[in-house]
Order: sequence, then C-alpha cells, then structure tokens
Amino acid sequence: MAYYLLKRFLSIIPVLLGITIITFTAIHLAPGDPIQVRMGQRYDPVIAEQLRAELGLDKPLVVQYLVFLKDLVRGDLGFSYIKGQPVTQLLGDKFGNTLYLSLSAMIIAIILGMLVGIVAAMRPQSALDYLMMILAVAGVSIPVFWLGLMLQLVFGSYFHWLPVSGMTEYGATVWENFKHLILPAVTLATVPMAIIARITRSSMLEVMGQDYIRTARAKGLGTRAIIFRHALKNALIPIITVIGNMFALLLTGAVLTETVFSWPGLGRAMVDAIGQRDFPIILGSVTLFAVTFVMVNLIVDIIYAWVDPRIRYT
Amino acid sequence: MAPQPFRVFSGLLAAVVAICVAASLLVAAGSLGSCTKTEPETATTPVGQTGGTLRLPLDADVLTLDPIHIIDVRSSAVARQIYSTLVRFDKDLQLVPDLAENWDVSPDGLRFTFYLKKGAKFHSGREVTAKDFVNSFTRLANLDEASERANLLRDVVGYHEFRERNADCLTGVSAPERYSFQIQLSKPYSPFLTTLAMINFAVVPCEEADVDAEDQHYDFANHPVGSGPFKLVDWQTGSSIRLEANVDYFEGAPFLDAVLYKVIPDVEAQFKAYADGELDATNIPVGKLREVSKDEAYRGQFHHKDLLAVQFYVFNMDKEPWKDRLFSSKKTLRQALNYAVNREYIVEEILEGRCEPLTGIIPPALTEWYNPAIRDEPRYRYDVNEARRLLEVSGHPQGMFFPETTRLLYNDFSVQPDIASQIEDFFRDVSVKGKRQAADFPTFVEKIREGDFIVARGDCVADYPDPDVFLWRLLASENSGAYGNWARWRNDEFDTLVEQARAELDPGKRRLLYWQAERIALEEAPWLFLFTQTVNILLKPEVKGIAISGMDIDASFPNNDLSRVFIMRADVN
Repeated sequence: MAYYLLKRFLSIIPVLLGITIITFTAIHLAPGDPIQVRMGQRYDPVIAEQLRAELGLDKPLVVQYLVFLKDLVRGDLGFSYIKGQPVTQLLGDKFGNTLYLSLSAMIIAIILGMLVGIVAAMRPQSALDYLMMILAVAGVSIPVFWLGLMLQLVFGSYFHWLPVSGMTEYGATVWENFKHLILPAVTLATVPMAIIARITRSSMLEVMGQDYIRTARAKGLGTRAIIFRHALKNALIPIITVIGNMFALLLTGAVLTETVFSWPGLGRAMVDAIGQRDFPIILGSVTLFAVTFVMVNLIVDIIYAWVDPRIRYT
Repeated sequence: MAPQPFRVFSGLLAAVVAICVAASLLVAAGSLGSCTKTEPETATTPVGQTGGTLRLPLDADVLTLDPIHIIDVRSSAVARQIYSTLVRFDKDLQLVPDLAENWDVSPDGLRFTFYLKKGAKFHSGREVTAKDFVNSFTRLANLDEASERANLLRDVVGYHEFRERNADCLTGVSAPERYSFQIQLSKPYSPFLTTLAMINFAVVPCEEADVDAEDQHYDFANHPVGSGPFKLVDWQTGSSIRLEANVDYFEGAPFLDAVLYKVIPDVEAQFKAYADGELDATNIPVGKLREVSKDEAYRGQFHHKDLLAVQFYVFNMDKEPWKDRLFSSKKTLRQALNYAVNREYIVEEILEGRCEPLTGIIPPALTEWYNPAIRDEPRYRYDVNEARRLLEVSGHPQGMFFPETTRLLYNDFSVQPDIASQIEDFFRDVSVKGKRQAADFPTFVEKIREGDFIVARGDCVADYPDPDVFLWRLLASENSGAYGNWARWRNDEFDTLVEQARAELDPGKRRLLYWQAERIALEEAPWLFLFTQTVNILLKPEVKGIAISGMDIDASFPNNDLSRVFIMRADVN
C-alpha cells in the first residue's frame, strides 16, 4: 500500500508538468498584454518596460517557465501581475470558497442522487421510475449557467426568497450565509446528482437480481434491511467511481456557477484573470485544479479498498 | 454640526488667499474661480440624521488601494474616501482645498507652495505634515515603487535624475516648514495644480507604506492608511468593501457610519438590487433608460449629468488609406467618413440618448474651456452627398481603391458591437466596405499599442478637468501610440499650439490657443468624431448631499466626498 501511494504521488509530477506546459504556452500564445492592462489609460513605454523587467516578462519564455517551476517546487506561485498580491495567498481564500461550494453541492448530489436512484430501482419500469429517470436526463442535459439564471430569476427576482449573488456580507449571520449558499450549491449539484441517480439505479438493479438478495428475502428480511445492508453496500463501487469523477466535474462546473452567482471562488478568479491576462493567477489556478483532481482520484482509489476488502493495491 | 462652520471658514480663507494670488499670477482659470465658491454641499442641516450605511455598487472589484498604483475609476472612487490630496474638485469641477488650506504660485508658474491644514491626522493617529507630502510624492516617483503613474511628476525638478538613479531624492519637492509644502517645476505647466487632485497624489504615512519585503508591498494596498473621511474595515475580494467613518477626520466626522460598496458587475443585477432596496444607488441597464427616466415609481430618483468624456473612432494614420504624404493629404477622405455617419441616429436608436453628438474635441461639460461656436456650427453633419463628393475628391470614387476592407476594431462590451455595426452600415451607404472586428480588452489594447488596426474605437474620461487631457494627451504627436494619441496623428502646427497652451499662465490666452488647436484637429479629422457622454443613475431620495459632477462616471460617485452625505430617516424630523 505504501509503495502504491508513493507511486501515485510521483505520478502527479508528469501530470503537472504536462498541464503547466500546455497552460503556459496557451496563455503566452494568446494575444493581450498584462502590463498594458495594468497601466490603463496612460501607457508609458518607459514605465512599462520597467514593470515588465520587474515581473520577469522580458525574459525568454523558457526561462520564465523554469522560474515558475523553480518557485512551484518551493510552493510559491509568484505574484499577481495586476494586484501584486502573492498568488498562494490570493488563491488560498478562493480555493477554500470553491471547496465549500463544491462539497456542499457534492453532499446534495450524493444524498438526493442516491435516493432517487434507489427509489427508481425499487420499482423498475414503473411510472415513478420513468419520472425519476426523465428528471435525471434533464439534469444532465441542462446547461449549468442557464439553470443558474433560471433559479436566480425564480427564487431571487420573483419570490425574493434567496439572495442571487455573492457569498457573504459584512456582519452576516450563519443563516444569511447559508441562504447565499443554497442557489449556487443546488445549481452545481444538478449534473452530478442526475448522473449519480442513474448509476445508482442501474447498479442497484444489477445487485437486486443476485442470488444472495433472493436468499435474504427468503430468510424473511425486511425491504429496508435488504436495500441498505445488503444491496446498497454491494452496489457502491461503481457509485463511488462516479462520485470521484463527479468531483472533477464539480470543479469545472464551479467556473460557470461561480461566474453566474458572483461566488468568490477559484473558478471566477480564473475567469477574471483570463480577462486581465494575469498569467500567474491563471497558471496557479490551473495547477490547483490539477492537483485537486489527481488527489481526489487517489482518495477514491483508497476508498475502494476500504469499501471492498477484495481490492488490494501493490 | 461642528463641521459646517469650519468648512465655511476654511472656504472663506481659501477664497481670500486665492484672490490675492490671482492678482499676481495664475494657474488654471478653473482653480481660481473655485476658491470663491467653496460652499458646503449639504443644503439641509442633518439634525439627528447622522448614522446609517450608504450602499453603492461597483462594476468591478477594486484593483488596489495603494494610491500610487491606482489607474481605474473604481479603485479611485473607494480610495477617494480613504485618502486626502492637497486639492480636490467640487461638484462644478472647480478646484477646492482638501488638505491644503491655501496655496500660492510664483509669478513664473514654476513654484507652488501649499499651506497645510493643521491637526489633520492619519488613521493611525499621527499628524499629517509637509514631510509626509514630500515622502508621498517621492514615493510616487521612486523607481523601486514601480508606480504606473510616476510620469505625472515628469515636469518636477529632479524627476529624471531621480528616475535614472543619479539623485537619491526628488529635489523638486520640499518641506520648508512643518505645514508648508513646496513643488518646483522645471518648466511651466498650467494644468499641474489641477492634476494634483488625482488620487495618485494622495498623502500616505510612509512608515506604513514603505516596506521593502516584496510581499509586504501588497500589504499597504490591502490595508490602506490615509487621512480621509473613512477607513477600510473589511474587503471581501470580489464581493464587497466596507468603509467606516473616521471620527477624527480633519473636516469633522462624517455623517454616515459606513459606506458599503457591493461588487456587482452586471448592471441588470445592480438595478434589481436597487429595486429590492439592497442598494442606495444604481446605474441603469442598457435598454431601460427611457422607461426608467419617465417611470413615476422612480420620480425624484433619476439623475442625469454631462460627463467629461468623449467617444470616437481613430484612423490609424500610419496605415493606408489614411496616411498623409508630403503632397497628398488624405484629410478629405477622413472628412468624408465624418460626413457619412449619422450620429443622431446612433444616439437615439442605440444609446437611448445617453450620449450627444460630439461636435468638437473639448466636451461641453468642461464649460469654461468649451467652444460654443463649435456647437452652433458643427464642422461635420450627416450628409451622404457631401461624403460621396469628398470621397471622389480624395481619389476614392464609389469607395474604390481602398487597399483592404476597413476593419473597425472595438473592445467588446455593452452596446459597442451595435455601434460598430451601425457605423459599418453608414460606411456601406457611401460604398466604403467596413467590417467589425471585436476583441477582448487585453487583446484590444495590445493591438492599439502595436498599431495593428486600421480604425479603432477610442474613448476618454478625463482624470482631471482640463482641455489638456483631450487635446494634449489624445492628439499631441509626443503621445503617439498607446499613451493617448492612438491615431498616431502628427501635426506640427497643432503640437506648437498645444505646447504653448500648456505653458500659458493666462487662462484667457490659453483658451484661445486650445480653440485654435481644436479647429485644426477637426479640420484634419484624425478621428471619426462620435459622442460626448452622460451619466445616468438612480439615487434613493433619502440620500442627501451627493452632488453629481462631470467626473462621476457611475453610481460609485468617484468624484464625491462622501463625508457630508447623510441618509434622511423618516422617523426624525
């Protein structure tokens, strides 16, 4: 197990190298000059050159990339070109906000998704099953940004029940903060919820057809005990795999959701940074996304072993 | 109540001094008239009306609150409440004292001496002295601080030596006494006094701001310490900024308890928040202006003001077909296109009357400098036949012999695509093939800098109320390129006139020089002259004391001192 973990950790290195090289090249190939964005209306070439030198933008690209790598190894992502703030500090808060949103969405998606899946699997081919699955297909198909806008329109503009943007306000109570969370979390949860529902349903159906379920029924166990103690546990593996993958979807989905709801997270920071050509922020957020993705996959693999004792890593 | 008499007194004193000074010399006419007009902006006495939080929208988050790095209106709007400058502008854009009690200028216009108000304190509690201004100005010029706006000091004695590290301080600024601060210029520059109201010249306590460590550099921007009416207490990056009253403010404690800025990029969302009572002011979304301005529900809340702003498209004079040659000026071609565009139509159909056709270069909101003759007899009116005739004269009959399609480069926001598309249509009416070319902001500005465009959209919102902004920065040949003269237009006669105007101390003469220069630019048509701009906002009727000026470009009121603003509550009479 230790060897396996070490191997997995080491595999992060080529992944990161690849991702940063691609991102680095892409942002430098794109037109647009961060220095000019920073200088605004009065662009003075002399001062611009000085700023360029200060930020190391006058060096060859390869050198700039190597400098980035050197700093990255030390956990330093450089300074924002536009705000002058250390990237780690700036993205640290944002990352926390994104995690908060994504985990909340994940919890909603898992609970509701599995519930819908189980209910549908209980009565296959029934009207209830069809209804649930139609909802699931709709959930997967609806674009996140559209759903977000619609929810804002209905719950914010029409009913005035929930705030439509931002994460918190100065002096806000816990309840007020929670209200800010509801709409973006539900929006973000929709796609994974639908997918989890479908996987749960098919996985449950498969398990429910197994001999041991029949045996359990034969020995007189109640439906609840069969589902939760016997069926669900065995149906979990594919569900966990999907949940792991979902997490990546949540992170990327967060970019859109955060933009729609003005949620101060990593996704929105990245979009803003692209709009300003703030290279260190773009690179930093992509790197953070990549690391999170790899780590989540690793955690999922470990959970496999825990759920299913037959799985052993060497 | 204490603040009121104090302000009146300081206003009178300033007026007397200014009049004396006027006898001997002079600075911009604007600055003179100003001092005699310093009245408190609040007409109503706010008995029992102190307190409360004013909630204003910001289109985008503030980039920095370190004054030497501020380049944008939003940062400036917030920073204006935190810091003080020597002088500032009132609602009529007249120069009035801020931290300077009064000032005098030497007869040659080269030496400025400011006498500071005594007892003003930084938020840290320390007194503001002339030494702080010396340090703050030096900080702005300091190469190591890498200020984007250092060149605002380029006419100050010793600037170049200091920048080139041949001197260890900025010799042109000094503090002869504890409360007097002196600036020496190397050549006369009339608008200089006016530029000092820019937020970049704010006084900062250097013990807080000057930190060598790289990451601390940012710290001051995030934890600003000024001497203005409000202090920063909370900044949720990307969502809100909260300022609270500085009770030790040298003009007396602000009436408000706090100002809360909410970052809401979408104007529709701002408008909604206002309607829901979550904001005290809002900008008005595209397409809603006419409806809102007439809506009974918003009666008494709608405010409208001409801005010190112009919009235009520039012809890239380094590119064909606009390029002038020794014996063949292409001005008739550029004039032709100026006749081809129906500005009134765009103003009505696309801009909902938010703009007015631009007849000159100095906008009407700059009242003292504006040339009314240009409004009465505009150089260009919509006239397709004249446009066709001039096209023929310029050697392009029927729009022929253009080297390529005339691409219209613009940065993609708001109604810009519609305007570009409409101009494309007007060009087509005179057989000139135009094609819109959208770009996001960073790409757009890079193309401008590289000169990689044929025609490009341009605009300018004055950062100080002086014709210098429009005529010198946007059109003088020394500013060719990204600094302001995007058209890369070069005209010796124009340059000479503007240079003279910059050095001229007599406002009357200066005005005439600018008017002459303006005529030349209109005749030579390096731009497609389009519109002047207005600001249109809704403000809750209970908010009193905000006076919208020609530099308040949106509902964050960047040119307003919010210290005398109060919220009238229904429960108090």
